Amino acid sequence: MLEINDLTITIGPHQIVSIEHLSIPAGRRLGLVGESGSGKTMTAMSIIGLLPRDAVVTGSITFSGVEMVNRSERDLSNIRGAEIGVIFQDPLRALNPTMRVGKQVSEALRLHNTVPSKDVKKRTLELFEQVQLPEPAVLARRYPHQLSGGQQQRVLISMAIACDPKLLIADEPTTALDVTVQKEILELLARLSAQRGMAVLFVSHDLGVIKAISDHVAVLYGGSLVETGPADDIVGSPRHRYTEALISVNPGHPEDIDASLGKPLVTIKGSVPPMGAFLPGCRFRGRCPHEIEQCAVEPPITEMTGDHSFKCWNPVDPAMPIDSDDAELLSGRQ
Amino acid sequence: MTVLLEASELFFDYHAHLRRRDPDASWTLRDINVTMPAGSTVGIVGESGSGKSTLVRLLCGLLVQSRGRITFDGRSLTEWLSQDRREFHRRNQIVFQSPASSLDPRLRIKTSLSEPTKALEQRKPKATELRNWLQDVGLSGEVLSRYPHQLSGGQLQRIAVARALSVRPDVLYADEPTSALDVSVQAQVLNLLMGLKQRHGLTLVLVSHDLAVVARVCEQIIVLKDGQVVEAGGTAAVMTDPKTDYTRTLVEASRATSLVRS
Amino acid sequence: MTDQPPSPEMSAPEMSAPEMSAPDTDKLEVFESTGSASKRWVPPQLVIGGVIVAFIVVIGLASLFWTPYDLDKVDVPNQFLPPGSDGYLLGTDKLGRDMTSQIMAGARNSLLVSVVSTIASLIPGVLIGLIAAGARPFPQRMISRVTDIGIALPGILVALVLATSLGPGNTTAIIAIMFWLIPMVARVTIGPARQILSRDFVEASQAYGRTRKFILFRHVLPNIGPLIIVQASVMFAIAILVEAALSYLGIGAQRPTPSWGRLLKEAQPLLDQAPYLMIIPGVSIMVAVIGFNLLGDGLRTYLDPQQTTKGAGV
Repeated sequence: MLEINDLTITIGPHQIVSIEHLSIPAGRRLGLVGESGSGKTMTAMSIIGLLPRDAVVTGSITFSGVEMVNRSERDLSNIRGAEIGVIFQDPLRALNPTMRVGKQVSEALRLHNTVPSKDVKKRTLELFEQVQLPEPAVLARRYPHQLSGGQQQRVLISMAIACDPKLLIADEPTTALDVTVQKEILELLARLSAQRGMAVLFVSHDLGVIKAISDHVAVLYGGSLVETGPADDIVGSPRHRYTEALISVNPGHPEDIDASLGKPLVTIKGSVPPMGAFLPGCRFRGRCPHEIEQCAVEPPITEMTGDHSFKCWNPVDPAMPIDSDDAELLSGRQ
Repeated sequence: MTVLLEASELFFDYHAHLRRRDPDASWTLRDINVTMPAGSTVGIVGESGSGKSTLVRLLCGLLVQSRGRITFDGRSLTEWLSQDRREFHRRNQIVFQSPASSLDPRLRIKTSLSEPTKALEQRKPKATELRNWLQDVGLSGEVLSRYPHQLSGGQLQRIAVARALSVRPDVLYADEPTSALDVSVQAQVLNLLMGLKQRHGLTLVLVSHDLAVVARVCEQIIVLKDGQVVEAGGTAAVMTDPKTDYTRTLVEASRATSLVRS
Repeated sequence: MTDQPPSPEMSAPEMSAPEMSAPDTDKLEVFESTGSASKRWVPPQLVIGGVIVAFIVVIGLASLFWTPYDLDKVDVPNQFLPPGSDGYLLGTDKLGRDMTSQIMAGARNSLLVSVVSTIASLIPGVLIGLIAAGARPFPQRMISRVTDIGIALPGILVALVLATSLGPGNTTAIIAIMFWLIPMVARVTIGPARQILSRDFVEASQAYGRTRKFILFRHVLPNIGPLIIVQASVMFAIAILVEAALSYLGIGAQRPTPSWGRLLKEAQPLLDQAPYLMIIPGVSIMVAVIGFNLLGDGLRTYLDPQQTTKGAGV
């Protein structure tokens, strides 16, 4: 339903995002994971044309067969909200502080003329019920600052789904929330997506959160899509060295707490380079512990069965040290 | 192990001056009892608004409690602050959440790093000392002449740690030291803190909302909720067999988004 | 004020150690925040504003030693010469006095009054602002209210009252401008100072036992320094305007002290006869005000410590 092909986003002298291919089938949930500077937010916002003015976009993003790149602002704002819903990290900034929250949701409904105006109020309360806000009628009369962070995010979700969008873009929607609230919001999003057949693009820096919500995961590093695949494959048997590292640096929940206590965690050396300071070739070069000579050249995409693909010259071997395929792949190694 | 720090029946309210009018107003912290043996690692866990940051600021003398008593190394905090203020601050240092904001943007790293020694020991540190402190946190002397905006978040956090340790404190408080960092850098900083704790025999107090982090670093966990201690004990016990519903919810929520590790 | 972050060479990232290394052996590369060798970018406003201000300063200073004609040399046969006349670049007034000389000397007076009044307002204003920001909530509110009252006082009225007791003249103008500016400076200092005080490095400083006073002067003041410099240049502009207004009303500079405002006043009755007599000092005031404003705007961009690339911080 959403397809991205050869997308590049450039700001000034720096190419920030370069994605060969990425797609979300209808009703599926894709998790886009990356650290700061990975271009994950840029990628998500490019879909709805919400990029800084000086950003130059090339390539193609098609949504339900319609090209979105370089569309007029007017077309985009019709699609935004009606067919694509968006929620952000900080709900308080996304809500109008001077308007009651119920009214804000009603406005969203009126704007896109989806329900007859006499039903708007009823529909608003229905939406509040769907996002599991307690006492919808009471909360609808509150102002944003009178709600808790979790409730604000629920209001924002209800606004985003008001017009039955086919795609929901969620940009770090739980990062500002407490863990217990985060769990509830993730469950809510998964349920809404399943009930409505709504596709979700979930953007986060936290692979744990991504894994909890997504069917499919795309790993971004330095603006490049290094690995995509089903969530269980990505977390269970990653191939790209960055994905592997991203999983292993996670403190996780070890079985034997006493044994792991005080033991050093696995680390990745260095830190994410600033924009424009990535080395040519593989983006993870310079930090990767498995670097080989070929890494100075941009690695090709290796497709595997089960919709899993990665871009790495020296990938993690899921089974044996070097099997025939990999031996061929690594023939240039010294 | 000897008890280094003890807090008993601690109450705190940011609006203490309004309490006379409204004595039933809720406390930011109420009835906190904490004991920390020398050389221990203690994790303070809680959600936003639980009062965890307020608690460490009381313990390291940045805020003054409304009621109750804090004892550090056998003397009350009030006594420390009125008689040996410098010595108390020298022995209790703190590292903050945001590496970008914890260093003065207009000062070179050299100047920021020298500050505690100048303020607490009334002398200017030697160039070799500065380099040694940086080496201790895995940085080279090159950064001395830089300004904060020229360094990455992980580097700044290391400098903040080096600065805190430059006066050889007994206790290091770390208030969410990794939550503003990338995951790939978080582990570096946690390893650094654990390594330094070992080498310098520090007592480490780690404040975090992330149970997974605390479980890897701390021997003891204190769980705070709405300004009260709901559970405290050994890490393994609290994590595997929580005594209260709240802690159980917290552990489950944290597991739900955690990656399974062998 | 101008100690600027250096822009050292980017150290080439080393790629050794193929192991995921423990942090204590890990050498991190230091990188430029933009990744490219950066030179401090000088904004055009700064250049244009600087040139205008420098020009005014130069002609003002030059008038101390040399003007084309003696300032008060009356030359009735040459009265009302239009600008561009032979030997009289900006023309002459009704008594045949040279306008070029008058404008040059007027620049001197405008600068004198604005420099003295700005500096005399900045120091107490910033001090009041810093003290208020560092004070407890109650005294802080008190100081804020007092500055509000100061801002609410109509400046011209204060000047008129002062003139009746002190008599007209530059001193009156300077004191009146100070009344005007001090509360303004205090007001614009409090907010940013409080913002700086809420940053973690201030708390860190308290954790190693620094006093409020030390923090206010060593951390807060340098961090709001650029803002104060910008404010100062705007204040120069305001002071020039106010000085001209007061002289125009007859409260400021009196003959023989040269002043742009006084020139305006004298030209008013002759508006039909010789409009240029009004236009020339008017334009001078306008150019000076624009010059100082541009300079302030340029300085703000230039002094931003994060400014490493073009356009950052604008």
